[in-house]
Amino acid sequence: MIKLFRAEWKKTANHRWLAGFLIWIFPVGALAFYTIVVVATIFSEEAIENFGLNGAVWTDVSNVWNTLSSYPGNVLGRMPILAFVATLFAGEYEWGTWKNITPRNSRSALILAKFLTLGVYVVLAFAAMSVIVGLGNGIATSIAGLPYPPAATGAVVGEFLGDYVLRAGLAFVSTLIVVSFAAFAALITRKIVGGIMIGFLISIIEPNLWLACLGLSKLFNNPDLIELYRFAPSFNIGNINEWIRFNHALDMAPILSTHVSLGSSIAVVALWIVGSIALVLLLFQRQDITS
Amino acid sequence: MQSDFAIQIENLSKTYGKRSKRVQALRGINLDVQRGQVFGFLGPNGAGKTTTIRLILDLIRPSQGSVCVFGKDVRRQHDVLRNVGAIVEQATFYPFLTGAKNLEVIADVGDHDVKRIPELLDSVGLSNQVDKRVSSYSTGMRQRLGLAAALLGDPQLLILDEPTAGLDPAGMHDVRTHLRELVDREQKTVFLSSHLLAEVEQVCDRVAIIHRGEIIRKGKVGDLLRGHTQLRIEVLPLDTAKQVLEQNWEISPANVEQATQTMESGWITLITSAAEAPAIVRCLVDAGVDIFQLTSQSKTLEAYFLEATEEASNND
Repeated sequence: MIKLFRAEWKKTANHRWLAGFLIWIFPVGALAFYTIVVVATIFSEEAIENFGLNGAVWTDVSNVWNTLSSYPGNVLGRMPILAFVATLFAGEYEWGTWKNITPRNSRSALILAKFLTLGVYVVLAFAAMSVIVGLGNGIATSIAGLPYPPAATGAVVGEFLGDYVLRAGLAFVSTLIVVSFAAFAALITRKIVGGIMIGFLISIIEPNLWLACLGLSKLFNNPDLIELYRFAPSFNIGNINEWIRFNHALDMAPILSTHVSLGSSIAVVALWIVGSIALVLLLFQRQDITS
Repeated sequence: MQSDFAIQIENLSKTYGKRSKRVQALRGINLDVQRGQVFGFLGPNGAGKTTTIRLILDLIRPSQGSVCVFGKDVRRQHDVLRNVGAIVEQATFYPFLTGAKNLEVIADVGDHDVKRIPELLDSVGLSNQVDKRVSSYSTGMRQRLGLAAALLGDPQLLILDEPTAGLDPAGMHDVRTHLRELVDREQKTVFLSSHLLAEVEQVCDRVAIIHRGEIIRKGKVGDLLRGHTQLRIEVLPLDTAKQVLEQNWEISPANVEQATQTMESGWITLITSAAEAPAIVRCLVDAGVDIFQLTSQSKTLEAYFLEATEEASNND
């Protein structure tokens, strides 16, 4: 798997547009933004107000993951990653390169290596983005002569790390489910644009599945049908977040009448992850490579 | 136990599409390729050559039948394909990577030794192009890179679909010589699909001809062409010669050519072995026919191929 990952990394890292524009856009974008913030802070006192430096806390760097997890902003935030995944999977058809690599290794390993590459890129890009945001705010507040709390005691750092890992994990998992379907679409359509379009649609539809469940319950005059929303990834990811941070279930009243346990939500999310990746593996196992 | 065969194809069929759009690309073909040979796989466009190659490489699933490489079913024991190098249709690569990087990626995927890359690039004449992106390569250069990629894992079996497409005559000669050396010196097996029948005739030990998804001929090149010798005789008078020869040999009207419309001399072509020449000469001389020339010509693989595919088309 290490050599397969190395092969994927070589491909993506040497494709300027692919990694440069779709993945490194996050830290590079943050760097560009904080360069403006720092320069503006030097020359204008209004910048302190405009950029919200008064009251900035370094522990807020974990908010960078909201780019991927908070609807509706995440629809735009996930777009580069969806395009990356679509290129990663459908690019092999468009370049006619599957035929070079599928006889040399198992199809499952080839697909899993792509998911691993995606995961490493996303984690690296957002970790780098977090560092840039933290340092950027620190430099700007320092120039403005403002404090940049809280003091980095062991307890604060420990709590921050826990919160950071939770947010990163949940954002990553929710993105992984969506990109798995984008990968599935890329394999079916064998087109990069097909993967992007379908991934984009799923990004919009999935958080709004409760509307579909509500519509079904009205259509069939069965109030229980709305409870189907309990199986949606976004609901369960929200529920896990609520349990870990506030030690209680997510309250979706009046849409959902029941509260879902942490264990159930973890199981449902795990099923979505395993199921969506398994779907991609199954499709590729059975697919004829004709290009 | 090690199999004597590099490839064994049994009752292999492949149908593309569904319902009204069904296309049967292969119709239950059987084929054995022994180790240590260059095997030529011939057929007109759309005959099923590339489909067969894709099935051998487990790129597509058969509708029926099986393919074994070195005695192992490629669908059940996919790992056996690590010992196979291939070019399928035109060699295609990641256009944004250099030639060397493309080979590195393929080497990593196949767990092959990357140290062989410079040597392979040198052997296909690309050592001074390693740092150029493949997008700037000509068709011939891509084909050379394809050959290097096929040889990366030092495979025991090479499957090459039109390997000399896009190459100049010197490049084609180099590839032919290289393939022959791989078989003769290193006992590798080459499964070669090509439209260039003269090339196949020069380099292959055995051939199979596929037509509309069926194998219509197979065997050693020498065996297939044996018994297809032509004797071409220039005679005067033509009519007498024709009457005499018709008593013992079959002559079709197409094989009788008058030299000019006003002259009585002409050419008669007999499909027979060279061993018959003395009897033919005796027969003609006894009948008072003058013989100006008698030449023996072996049928080329190209002529054999065209005859076989035409016959198969007429039988359909």
